[in-house]
Amino acid sequence: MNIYWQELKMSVRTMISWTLGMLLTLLFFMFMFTAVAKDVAIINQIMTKFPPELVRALGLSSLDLSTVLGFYGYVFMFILLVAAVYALKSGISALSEEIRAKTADFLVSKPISRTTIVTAKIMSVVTLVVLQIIIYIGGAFVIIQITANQYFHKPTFLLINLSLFFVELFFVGLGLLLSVIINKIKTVLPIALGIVFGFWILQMLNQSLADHTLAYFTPFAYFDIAKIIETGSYENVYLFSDVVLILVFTVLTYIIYQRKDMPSV
Amino acid sequence: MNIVLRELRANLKSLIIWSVSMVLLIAMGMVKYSGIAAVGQEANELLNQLPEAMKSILGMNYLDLTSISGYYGMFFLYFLLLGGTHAVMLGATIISKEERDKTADFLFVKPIVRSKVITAKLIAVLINLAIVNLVTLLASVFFVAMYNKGEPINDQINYLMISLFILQIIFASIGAGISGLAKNTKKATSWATTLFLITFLLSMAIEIYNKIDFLKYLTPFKYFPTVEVMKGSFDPFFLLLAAVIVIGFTVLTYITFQKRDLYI
Repeated sequence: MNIYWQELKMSVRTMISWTLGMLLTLLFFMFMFTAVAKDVAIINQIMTKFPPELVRALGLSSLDLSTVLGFYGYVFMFILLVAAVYALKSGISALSEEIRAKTADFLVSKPISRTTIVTAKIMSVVTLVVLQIIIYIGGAFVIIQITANQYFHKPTFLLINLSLFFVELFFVGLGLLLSVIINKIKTVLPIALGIVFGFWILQMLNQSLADHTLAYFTPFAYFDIAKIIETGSYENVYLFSDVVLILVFTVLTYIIYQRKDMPSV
Repeated sequence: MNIVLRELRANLKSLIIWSVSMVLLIAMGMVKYSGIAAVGQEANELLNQLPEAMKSILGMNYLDLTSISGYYGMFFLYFLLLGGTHAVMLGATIISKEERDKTADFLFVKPIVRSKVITAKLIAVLINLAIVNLVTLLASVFFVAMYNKGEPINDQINYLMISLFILQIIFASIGAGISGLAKNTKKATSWATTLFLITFLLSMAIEIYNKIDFLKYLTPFKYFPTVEVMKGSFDPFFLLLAAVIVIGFTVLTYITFQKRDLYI
């Protein structure tokens, strides 16, 4: 329990800064919405004449940028990237920060099982992610209300933002697994940035190709915003694989951490 | 000299990963192009009718996406992003990593002036940037030729690579300067990355909302606009500004490290 509170105390400030970053980015882009919204009718008219391959190739799918949700969906991609980097960074640091700070042997020699340690750390990271999402959704709601004077479908808005939860958990799990597999992690940020970029590029490639088998390899494809707006729900196949992967990552983390040698120098 | 070679060897793995990423990026971009090119000219006319703001978001303001040079010009932004990130990371960590890896007290007690150490490391950074740039150039030429159905655009690619190199140097020097001011590697990389992202967002904002064009002096992404560069025209004012920034931050790096108490 101590570990949980200690981790929370140590990491809550970075969580706040990252969440603020996400909200500021949103605010920034929503100012642009007023510029785009002016030409609502024209955009709609033109988009209907586009051949489907072009729309797909441009990565626009069926996102209608003139509506609040459509534009938000586009901006949300960037927010998701930032959130993913934060989640991956948190996941990787949870267990590897001890090794970097040379406190690993201290912690592990305490009379508590390694499972307890991992659980406490995972719980603290998940708590912070949940807090972040709550703060973000609240802030995003306020920002959208202020900058866009239009009606938008609130349940769908909520659903889009909740996909943050599933994507972030994926990256937390991945980060945890990476931190126990890789022996020496010197700086977390470049690795986190690189991996998230990689997944993002996979998603762009996935969007422009006709068949979507690549979608299983990149968490960004699991919650396609256009589809959420269209159908008002998630695609169950992807939701399922996301959850399965998170569980697999977590279980593997526990198992590997149990046997891991802690570098103490 | 030793230091330069040693740094090159130490960075080799990271260099290879980044270079491969650049190659994958251009490969993927060209695959995407084959999808767009297939659609043809009428699509282009339709695209042109979109309102300005919409076009800026898609990054296709003045470029014809169905032609290879237009598409490559639009796609070049991703090179700037990836190359810029690499450059800023490299600059921020090259000197502060000695303190992170606890090798600072070994390196700096050697009978060599601190400024010589910094010079050697910066030269290593320059070589790394040049290699990444060269790899991007060769990969671009290769993949573009593979998917190009029109005339070769090698000249334009060359010019764009030059602008990429200038931006890499700018960001690397900014990263090095920031690392001189920051107390440890973690802070240095976060500040440097944040600054980088802010300049990028600013450049996007200026694209969408022209009225804040005067802010373009604050973001290196706007110094050498793709459209101009592809014609071979580099605005001399911005070349000068770039030089000032690079020299300024490099001098900052030297000054801060000369006087600084090293954290061992």
